[in-house]
Amino acid sequence: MKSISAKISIAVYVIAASTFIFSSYAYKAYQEMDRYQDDLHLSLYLRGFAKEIENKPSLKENIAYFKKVRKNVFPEYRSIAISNIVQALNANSPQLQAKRFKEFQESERRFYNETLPKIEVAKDFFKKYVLLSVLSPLIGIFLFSVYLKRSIVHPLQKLSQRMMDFLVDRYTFKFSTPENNEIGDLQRTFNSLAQKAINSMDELKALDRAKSEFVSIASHELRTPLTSIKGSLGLLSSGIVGDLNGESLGLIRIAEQETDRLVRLINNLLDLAKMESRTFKLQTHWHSLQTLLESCADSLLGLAQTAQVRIQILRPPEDLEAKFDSDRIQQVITNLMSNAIKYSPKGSSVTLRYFVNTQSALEVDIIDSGPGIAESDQQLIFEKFRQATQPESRLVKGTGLGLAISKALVEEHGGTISVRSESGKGSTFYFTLPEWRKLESIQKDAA
Amino acid sequence: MKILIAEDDQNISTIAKLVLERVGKHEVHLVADGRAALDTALSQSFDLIILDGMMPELSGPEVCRMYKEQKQNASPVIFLSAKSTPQDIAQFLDLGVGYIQKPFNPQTLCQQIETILKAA
Ligand SMILES: Nc1ncnc2c1ncn2[C@@H]1O[C@H](COP(=O)(O)OP(=O)(O)OP(=O)(O)O)[C@@H](O)[C@H]1O
Ligand SMILES: [Mg+2]
Repeated sequence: MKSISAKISIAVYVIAASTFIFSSYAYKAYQEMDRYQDDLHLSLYLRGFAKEIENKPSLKENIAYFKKVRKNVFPEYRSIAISNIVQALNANSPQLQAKRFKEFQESERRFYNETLPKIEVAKDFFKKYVLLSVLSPLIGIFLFSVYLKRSIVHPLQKLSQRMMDFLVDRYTFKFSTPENNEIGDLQRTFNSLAQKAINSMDELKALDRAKSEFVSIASHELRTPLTSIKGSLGLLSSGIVGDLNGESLGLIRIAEQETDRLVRLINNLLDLAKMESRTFKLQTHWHSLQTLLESCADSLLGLAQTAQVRIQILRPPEDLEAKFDSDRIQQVITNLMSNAIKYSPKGSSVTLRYFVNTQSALEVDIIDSGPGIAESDQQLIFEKFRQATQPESRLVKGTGLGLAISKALVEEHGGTISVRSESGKGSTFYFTLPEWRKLESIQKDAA
Repeated sequence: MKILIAEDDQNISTIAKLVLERVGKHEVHLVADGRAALDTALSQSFDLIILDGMMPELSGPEVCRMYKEQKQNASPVIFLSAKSTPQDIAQFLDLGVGYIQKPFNPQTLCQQIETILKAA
């Protein structure tokens, strides 16, 4: 039997047994008291009866009665006194009779005096045992509850504290050896569970490390030959090493474009791998949205000019600030804007705006009047390597990773990213940032 | 400008030399490992030193550290590397005046170098 359940059984047994023993003692004391009282009653009755027949001539039935009573009285001196009465009655001598009756009365008085304190003693015992039989279970239950608290409730609380610690990564293996009981078993089981979880976490971390190592080596190894390819093609197409005929130049340009795409693919893959690793950390600060959007627009001016698309920023009545990693959110906006520009028709414009939306998050919209995205594709395009089932952009071929990266980055900031669009009616890509404030109120604070 | 390029990949160094000579009209000197880079940089004087990140013998950052320790009024160092983790970039920017990511664009390489040197 395990120690806690054994202790519980013992405690219950001890409580029950002590209650039983004490109450049976109380019962015994009560019985004794009762017997003494009966004896006294009998004695008083006999004395009355003796007084009644004292001076009367003896009757046969009285003699028989005394003879019978004589056997039932204790101690011996009383039965001797009664025997003497019987003798005297038989002798029919009034003097002897009177003398014996007197002696009888004295012996009964003595008996009375001896019995009264005995009744008191029995009464005391009775009271004591009744009290004990009530107190012993009460004390027993109290002690038992103390034991329960100390050896069950407290260890359980400690264990649950340890589990909480484990949940928030403050887990250490520094604790006393578990006791050899059921709670100890629980603790041991939890320890092995924790150990197992930690082991697999370590394994995951090792895998994670191996993966990011692999990605960084692979990207280095890919970039090195690409540097030569891109360099050679660039030298050829720019005419630095001599002129080419039109057809050759066209072919070189194709090779150049695809090389650029390959380079972007590698950069994007590396970015995604970084974000998926546990070590990825944002560096968030407060930044003005207006400044952010303007610098994004500036960096895409070249692409916009090539595409003959205008970029337009709509200012809200008051500038807003948000807390974010500037490089990363710039990357998100650049991704969304380059998509918008890529898919916009010549002469149209791409609009940027920001405001506090109905869910009181800061929202940034990137609006284009391109082909739009079919309802069925709207979820899909945010996944890695998934592109909409549409004609390709007239400008640059994509890698299908831009939106996946943007989504990961926005979500890392605690925001959401999505698209509102209908096929043929342009698209609005938008994302939210949960932490923002009005620029106005900051100035007020400072004043 | 007189430029030293330390690059272990011969194809890349050929292209870089060609670009810098033809487009930038610079005088270019090539070495293929870290040790040679350090020796050449210490024994001759250059207006600019371009170091690959990973080279045999000594890595780019190692060459740069030793060069700056041993040479008074050292020339500016720019790293040219395929590495791009934040830690790598931070190290490059710590030691040198700038960093150019591989693969570089041959048409804009000279411009990139000018921008970095102007900012430094
Ligand atoms: N503004 C837009 N209008 C129409 N379709 C879009 C728009 N933005 C994205 N898409 C669709 O979503 C797909 C995924 O976009 P994503 O940015 O992830 O990849 P990409 O642009 O193809 O490649 P890259 O990784 O170079 O950005 C695109 O291929 C395109 O089909
Ligand atoms: Mg894209």
